[in-house]
Amino acid sequence: MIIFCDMIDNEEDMSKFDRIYKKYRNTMYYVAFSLTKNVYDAEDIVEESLIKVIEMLDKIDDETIDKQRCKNLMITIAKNTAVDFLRKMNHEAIPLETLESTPAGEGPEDLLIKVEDYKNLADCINRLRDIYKDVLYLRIFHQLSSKETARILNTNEANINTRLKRAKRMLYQMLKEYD
Amino acid sequence: MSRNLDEKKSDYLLELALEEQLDNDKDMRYWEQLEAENPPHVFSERHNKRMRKVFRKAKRVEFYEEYRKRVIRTVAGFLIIFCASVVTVTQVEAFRLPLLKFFYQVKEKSTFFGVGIDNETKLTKNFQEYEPAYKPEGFAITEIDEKKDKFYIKYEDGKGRTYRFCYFYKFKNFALDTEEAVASNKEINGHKASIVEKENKIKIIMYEEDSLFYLEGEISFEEAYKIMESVP
Repeated sequence: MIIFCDMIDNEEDMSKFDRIYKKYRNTMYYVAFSLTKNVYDAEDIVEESLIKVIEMLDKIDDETIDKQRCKNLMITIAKNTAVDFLRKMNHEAIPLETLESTPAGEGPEDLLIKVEDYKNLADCINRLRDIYKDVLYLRIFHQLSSKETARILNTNEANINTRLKRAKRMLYQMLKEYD
Repeated sequence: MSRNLDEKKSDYLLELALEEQLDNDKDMRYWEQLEAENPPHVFSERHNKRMRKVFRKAKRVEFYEEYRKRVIRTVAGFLIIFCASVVTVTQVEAFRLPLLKFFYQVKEKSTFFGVGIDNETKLTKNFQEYEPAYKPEGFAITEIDEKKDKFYIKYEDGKGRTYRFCYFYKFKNFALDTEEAVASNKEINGHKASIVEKENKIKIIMYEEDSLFYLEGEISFEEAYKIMESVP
């Protein structure tokens, strides 16, 4: 009977969160440790990151837990939680971001990416700064809301929307260089 | 609309590019290499203790999500079974006909109750004693008109048949059209009555001392007789 009960504890019967924890705890730990250089701080950051993961468990499909997609999400959460932790330790204020005024002649339709620009797009994404890449991944790739993204990146929704617009504008300007 | 579509297309292209770029992302490569170069970390007892709380929270969230999905699935299942049952049952004539008959009868009766304004239309106490007690089945009062020394009540059955009952005080002279009609004189409850039947209409005059009762309408002789007989 005991052996039978033991056999039940396979991966399929584990909850979604259990699977995420077992698969990514080391990854998240080393991401946090590389930024904080402190074991206990890194463990605290892992705990805080996992609490954020719980809040968006419904957005994570069971089938994607073992894929790069989920790994990217966990790393992004851990990295940004660590950055926020360090900022609080150094008593830095969270900056309020504002969108620069748009140049004359440029309207919102100019930030649209066209099919013909696609082949250079991946390269341009790679060249973006982390804060813009993260917001693109969270909002566009992982389909998180502004509120959820703000929670992960430890900022407010207005900043997220500003950052997203800025990221798209930067991509658009990079793509123009290829023309 | 076109603007929204272009934005959606643009975001979709971005999503595809982000997925493609994920495999070549230098930051991802860096973190993966960092993990590969180091042995799995042994988490402290302090961390494991705190994680028990986190696991409990996760369990609650997952349980609620699972419960919500189950409720939705159960309700959807019931709805599907119900619709399938209704469709299956109504395919069989043995079930369909009684069902249709039932709804038709309900509709008929509902329609009938919709026509009458019986409860709100009553004679005042001046004339209530003269109102006939009998009313043929299906008929309801639709109109009452009272004057100082007379009144009439109009009845309808919802199928287009009507009759009127009138009362006159001190009204002696009343003529009935008997041309091409069947006319007769009878006694109803000891009162003299003149009856005229023409085509599908009946007219009865009944005399009582100073009062005159008059009925005309598209009802049978038997029904008209019963009505006059029921006048107090």
